[in-house]
Amino acid sequence: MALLEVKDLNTGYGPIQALWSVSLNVENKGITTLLGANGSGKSTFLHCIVGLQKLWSGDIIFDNKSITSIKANKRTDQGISLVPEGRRIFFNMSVKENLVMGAYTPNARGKMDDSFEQVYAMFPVLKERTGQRAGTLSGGEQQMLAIARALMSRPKLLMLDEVSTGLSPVLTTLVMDTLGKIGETLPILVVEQAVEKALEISHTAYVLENGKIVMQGKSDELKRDENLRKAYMGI
Amino acid sequence: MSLELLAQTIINGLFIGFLFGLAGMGLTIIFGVMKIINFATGAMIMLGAYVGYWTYTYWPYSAIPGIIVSVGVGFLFGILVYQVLVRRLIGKPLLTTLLVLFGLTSILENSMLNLWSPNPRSIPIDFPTYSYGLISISTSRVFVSIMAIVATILVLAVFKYTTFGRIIRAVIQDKIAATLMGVDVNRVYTLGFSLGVTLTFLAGALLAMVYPFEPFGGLPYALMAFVVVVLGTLGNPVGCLFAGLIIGTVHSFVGSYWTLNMSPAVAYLIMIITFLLRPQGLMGKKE
Ligand SMILES: Nc1ncnc2c1ncn2[C@@H]1O[C@H](COP(=O)(O)OP(=O)(O)OP(=O)(O)O)[C@@H](O)[C@H]1O
Ligand SMILES: [Mg+2]
Repeated sequence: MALLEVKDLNTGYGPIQALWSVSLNVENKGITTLLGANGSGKSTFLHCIVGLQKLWSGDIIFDNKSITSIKANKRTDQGISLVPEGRRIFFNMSVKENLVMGAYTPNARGKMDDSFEQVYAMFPVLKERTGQRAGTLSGGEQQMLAIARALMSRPKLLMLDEVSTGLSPVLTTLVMDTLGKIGETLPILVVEQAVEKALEISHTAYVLENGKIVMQGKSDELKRDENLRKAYMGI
Repeated sequence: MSLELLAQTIINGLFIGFLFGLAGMGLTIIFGVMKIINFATGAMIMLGAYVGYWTYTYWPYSAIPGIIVSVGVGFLFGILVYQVLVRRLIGKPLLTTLLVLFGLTSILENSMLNLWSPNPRSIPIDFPTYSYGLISISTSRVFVSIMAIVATILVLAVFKYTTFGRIIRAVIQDKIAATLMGVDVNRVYTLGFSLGVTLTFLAGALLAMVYPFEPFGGLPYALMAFVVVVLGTLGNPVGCLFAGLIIGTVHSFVGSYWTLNMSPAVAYLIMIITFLLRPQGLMGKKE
């Protein structure tokens, strides 16, 4: 049984359709990845799942329940957490305050102390900088904060939109390895430009092109696919 | 130019400065949270003044109930105005907001006129005045200033230290991120608007203890509040406090050494010069 089941999703902006009959499953285990070129509709898809983008048609089933008509802010409490494109941390707040914001939902609030311990263990640098204004963190630290903040809500599903953007290759590897570790206990859906690395840590992959799913399958199989290599890895 | 007049001018300036700051803070919180400019500020200041006045009329033993009642009524009035009107203005063109809220101003002002006559009133609280040489300090002004300072500190503390304050700051910084955290942005808008209106009412109730007021008397105060907001950097409550004190002092100096009629003109001249030289406001950092 899939944790997240997206069925026949159509949506767009004004009269322009951005996603065409997209269906995608996220299993209850491990990492699923969604690949695609710029403008192919990856962020739009994630926004549909968190409720920031209205569906034209289709259904989103999460944890055996349709969430299509649930408001965006309520979906967080259902257990969906998104690290949005561009991080969107609260620049004028301290690291700690950002994390407290992450634990805003009723479900997460009671477990806040435990969550703090977990994310500080995972990202020790955040503990060192707990009082620092988030806007003054380095790019890599900001990305870690964004991931940590998303974990503070105690999600059942973690989704990340291009977390490696703007990071050095070393940091990208570090962040992806961290995701690999988180993925051992928490189901994850990653949207990535770092295709090679994303396929390495995920078990299933989907490829989006102009708003349509054009390829899907096991990650290690897709990794060997000629077309995919040509299109996304420049090989 | 006597030293006493100078001292008196500065003291008076700071007194009224706290009130300008309070009204400005009401405006700036609303703008910060939902990017709406409350063009009905003037009428709301007068409404607050009337609430303070009527409370005192029916219970003339202390100044405190008027303050409490104006805060309470301001909050409820804020929720009402938000739910009926302002909710529909979010994301609309500035002109729509301008017209609708000027409409609201007109409705409020003419209703006050119709209900309570055009006669200027003031809250007849009997505060003693102390004189030191030629400088006189009325305890009513001291009381009003203290109340304004307490309210300002309270708001800043709520902003900085409470969950509600943190949520408001989150919404001011990034609505989408706040939504992703699970924050109901609509509810924050309602409360943010009401908080702003509450401060506006409070400024009115305090003003009424030191200055006479009438239904159409809000405009000069609103104009000053707008200047304060611009100088203090849009959306920044601390900046408002300082800008309030600056504009209060300027207001007082123009009154003492020239004529009070010119005070708004000078305040606006300062605002225009600020706009030209430092578009980010006096307190703002360069982008
Ligand atoms: N707010 C918007 N208004 C109108 N069109 C939009 C909006 N957001 C996205 N689009 C359009 O929808 C399509 C999909 O955009 P989306 O941001 O989902 O792509 P993406 O795969 O996330 O791209 P990237 O890799 O650059 O982040 C694009 O054609 C884009 O121009
Ligand atoms: Mg995107």
